Amino acid sequence: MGKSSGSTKILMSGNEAIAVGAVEAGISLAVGYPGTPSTDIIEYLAKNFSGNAQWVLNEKIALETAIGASYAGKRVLCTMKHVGLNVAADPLMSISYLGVKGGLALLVADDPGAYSSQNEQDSRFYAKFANIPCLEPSDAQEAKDMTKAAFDLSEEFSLPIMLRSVTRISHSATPVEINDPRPENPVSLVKDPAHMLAVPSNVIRCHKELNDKYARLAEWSVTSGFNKVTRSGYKKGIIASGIAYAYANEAGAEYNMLKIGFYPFPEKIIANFVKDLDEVWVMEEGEPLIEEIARRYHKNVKGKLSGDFSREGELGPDAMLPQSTDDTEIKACLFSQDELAKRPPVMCPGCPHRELYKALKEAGPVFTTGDIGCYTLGAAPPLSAMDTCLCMGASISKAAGISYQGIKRVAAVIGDSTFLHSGIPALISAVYNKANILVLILDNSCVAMTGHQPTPLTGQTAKKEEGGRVSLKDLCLACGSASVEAVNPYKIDDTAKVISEKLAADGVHVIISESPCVLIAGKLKKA
Amino acid sequence: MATTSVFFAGVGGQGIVLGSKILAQAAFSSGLMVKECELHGMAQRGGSVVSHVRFGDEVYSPLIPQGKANFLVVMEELEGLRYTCYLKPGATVILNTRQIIPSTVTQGNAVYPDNVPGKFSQMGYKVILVDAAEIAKQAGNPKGENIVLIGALSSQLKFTEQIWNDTIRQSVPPKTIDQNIDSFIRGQQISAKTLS
Repeated sequence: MGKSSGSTKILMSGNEAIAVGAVEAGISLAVGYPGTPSTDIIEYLAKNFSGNAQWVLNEKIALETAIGASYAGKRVLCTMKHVGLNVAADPLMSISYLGVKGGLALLVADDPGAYSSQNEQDSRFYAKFANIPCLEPSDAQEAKDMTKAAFDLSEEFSLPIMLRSVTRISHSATPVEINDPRPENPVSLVKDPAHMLAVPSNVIRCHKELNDKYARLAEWSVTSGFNKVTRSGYKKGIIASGIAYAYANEAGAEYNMLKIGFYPFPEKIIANFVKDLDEVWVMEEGEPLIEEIARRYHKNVKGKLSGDFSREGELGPDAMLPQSTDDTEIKACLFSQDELAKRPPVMCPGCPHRELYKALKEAGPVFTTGDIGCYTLGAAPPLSAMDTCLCMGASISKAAGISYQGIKRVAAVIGDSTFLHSGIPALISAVYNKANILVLILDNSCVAMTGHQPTPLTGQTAKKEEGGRVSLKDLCLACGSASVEAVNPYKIDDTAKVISEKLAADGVHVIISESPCVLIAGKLKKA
Repeated sequence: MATTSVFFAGVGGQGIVLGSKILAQAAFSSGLMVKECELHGMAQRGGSVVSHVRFGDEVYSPLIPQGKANFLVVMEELEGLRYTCYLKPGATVILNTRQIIPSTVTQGNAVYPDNVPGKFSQMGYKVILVDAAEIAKQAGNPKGENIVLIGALSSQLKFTEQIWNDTIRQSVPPKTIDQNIDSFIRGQQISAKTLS
């Protein structure tokens, strides 16, 4: 990011703008778990924010930590990617009932097109599910403005507020105006059992309070300025939300335009907008959430449900091109994407994961369950060393489930950070129920895929300060593993021998493949 | 001015993100509205990488719609071929004569296309060939292929020398400023020569 001459505006990504907005709103804590495309918010704050910005072990912990800070009266930003919200869904679904104290903004970055994810889930449904408001920006400036608004709104309604970003907001840079930060809230830890205890005696009353708030929020949205008609006078119209609003403007100027940036909204704004139109287009990234509403008020609604746009993949700026009124002439690509040689992502030259997989293949497990990280690339040819991959931490539980069917020589491959994220309870469960599996923990001393974030195994914090440190070997022993052995993956034959031995043994065995990511090995040595 | 759109195509690790950030900042410093979009994460691990830079009086989508790119900066030949549908008829292609063979080709499951520059010319695009690796080496900055290509692109744009100079200085590691400025100027000269 850098300054423009003679202006206070700076070119910054949506993620940087969210980080700056949180600081301007007076946060005292930012907490999250890495996940593309959300990662660089905490990274930016760890580097540039004088206050507390930290990585925790998973998204549930992030949200719970944020709730604690809010209980202390402080403003707090919590960040994660869309699938991370599945992990944090448990605290989310009940904190909406109880409500918060200091402002709590929950940034969730969706990944339409699944550029770096295992699915395309649409977080707006979580906001609706939990009955909390959702703000959806259309560029970096709005991302910053909405972040600030989220904290005010959170305190006004005593609710966590979701900010829904998408890959193209998080990683698109547009000009953003910088303002002075608001002072932080003073510490104020007040006991309020009626709104801090999620116990049966409080549930029905809290649920009613929540429903009342949600209804008031829909009315609040009418004057908020986040949902507004930005063009009128034509017979055709587009309803567009978030980044899709930027795409909608590519369709030319002869459409009325309703911009949606805030949920919930009263359905009358849709009804009023479509009333005199001949044709209504709905542009939104993710599922046809707005389109479903629009179809109730107009007969000619075009979008994902009508089949005019694809229901899968990223909507992108090309969706409306066939309707475009300008003179764009598109030449077909000289080659179709299928004709050209593909270039899938690969492990880096010298990556220790590749060596570990060579050893694993030599040892020959019957089935290998995998997990989420750089090492997932081992599923692709020529290695083809992973048979399944689902979500964070699933490798160990899936391997155990297979083992309970009497199948031996099953291996689970999991990274160090993924193991800490959600592998530990799975390992204890496998020990408890006497599974016969081999767990391979690929310890590369960081969260490599998302940009080398540190973990408790190296003990460095997000702010590159010294934190508490945990021993992976001790941890696995404490979980009850029958054995824990460390190997050097570059010694392929030795590693293969250990793997063979442990694959044949009964019980839950752990092998830790110890070798830092090649991209940071040099830096670690210096430190 | 009308929106100018520059599409960058290459391979993870070639410095596409820095290249597009420098272009975006130069446009912004020139007083224009700018939107720049890149992709992080999985896509960086040696896979296909693209970025989009758009500037003008008004810019809507940060992603370039098909048929609207004025320039295609090709950092790797095969990668350039994937995105011809984004180009306007008669657009300019800054083509780095560089081939990085993908794993699908080394495994024998695909073929690397031959005569990529010829294919672009055949489609009616203005092609500026740049041996960026060689030029970057001459400038004492072998990693600076991206800056050489930005130099080549700069001769097609109307930003001042001062703005380019300042932007590059602020964007590259302090120790490599002189080599990068040299890479930029050499790229600019090659491009000017090709056109005349």
